[in-house]
Amino acid sequence: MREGKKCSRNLIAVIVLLTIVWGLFLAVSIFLTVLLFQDAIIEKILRPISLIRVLIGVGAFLAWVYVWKKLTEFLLYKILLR
Amino acid sequence: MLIQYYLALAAVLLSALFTRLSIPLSRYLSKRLNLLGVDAHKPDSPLIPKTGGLAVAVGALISTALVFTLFNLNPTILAGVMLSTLTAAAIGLYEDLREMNPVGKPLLLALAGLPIILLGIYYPNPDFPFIGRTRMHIIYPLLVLAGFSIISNAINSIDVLNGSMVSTSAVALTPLLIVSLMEGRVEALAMTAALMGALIAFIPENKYPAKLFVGNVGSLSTGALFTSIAVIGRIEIITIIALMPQIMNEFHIIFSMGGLKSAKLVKERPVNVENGLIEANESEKAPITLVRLITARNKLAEKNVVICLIILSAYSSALALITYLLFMR
Repeated sequence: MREGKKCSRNLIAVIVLLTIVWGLFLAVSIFLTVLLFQDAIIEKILRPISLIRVLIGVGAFLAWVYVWKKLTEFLLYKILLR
Repeated sequence: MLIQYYLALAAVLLSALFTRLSIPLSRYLSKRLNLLGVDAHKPDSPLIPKTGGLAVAVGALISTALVFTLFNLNPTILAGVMLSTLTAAAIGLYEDLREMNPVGKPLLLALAGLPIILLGIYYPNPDFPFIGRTRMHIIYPLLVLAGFSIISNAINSIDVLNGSMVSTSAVALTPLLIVSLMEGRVEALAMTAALMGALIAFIPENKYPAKLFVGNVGSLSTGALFTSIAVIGRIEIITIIALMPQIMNEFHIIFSMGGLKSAKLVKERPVNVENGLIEANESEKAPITLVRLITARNKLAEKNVVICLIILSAYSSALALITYLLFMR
């Protein structure tokens, strides 16, 4: 019985982590929409501006992966293995 | 709309049939070539034939080819998907025969995406939540190549327990199937249904206690098919969200090992096995994996860990569907 409860605890913790990571992904999308993609996307734009948009977009998603990594380390070492 | 249901049903049934028919052959080949893997989580560590995934690849590809022909779908897309999947399967089979360089493997897997790029069967306008359709004519082909490598390796990384890769992949295909159906993307629908049928038909062989391993040939070709579905069906973001547990597993292994390294060089294993129960290694030097998170201070039997992985996959699949329904329509 006690083992079953612990299984639920770990599973719920990972589900919460996935939810936060998903929420952060949506937040990154909103950030990109507000800051970079206010104009119509398909319209022709200057190549340097297009390149800067792509670079900021890639940077934002790399930051998302980094935060994901840090959150997982926190969950494992500070909560689950504490 | 009705014809799409028939198409999906035909793909599922045909792939299940051809997978079941191919299983004896893949088992025979494994034994003949002495391709046996140790089932490390069992007390007696039995040797299991490890190229069962050939049956999954064969079943999914034959079914896809038949459905594309029967329903008169785009033959160029079929050629691209076949070439990409066969390339990934060949890489997987090679890795089943001998260990590959951990840096060279992701580069080789990226090459599996080349047929899709060279045949021009991609749309460089991926849809994002809130943003909508974007324009990525220059970077998109590079993202496709990276996608083949990342997704194939991610699915490969979850193939650590009996039935874990096959069952979580079948669950993760559900949102792809629903979105392909709702968007009328028939080619992606045919491929998704074919892969789903093949994976479900393989579960009885691979579930605990496994009689046949899926092997690298199966997990890498499944990853290549997932990526092809995402690119051709223009459902890249849905695929990434549905595969979050697998991607999370892969990235954390790479991060915690400090780069792409052979698993044999890892001094601390992520989990310990005692009397058939799996428990996380508490050392901070051990790689972070999903199984380690689930079993942290929590001894679990192998099949219970797989159930946890399936629940996580189902949850991610639900998030993928919510993303599509609320923010991408």
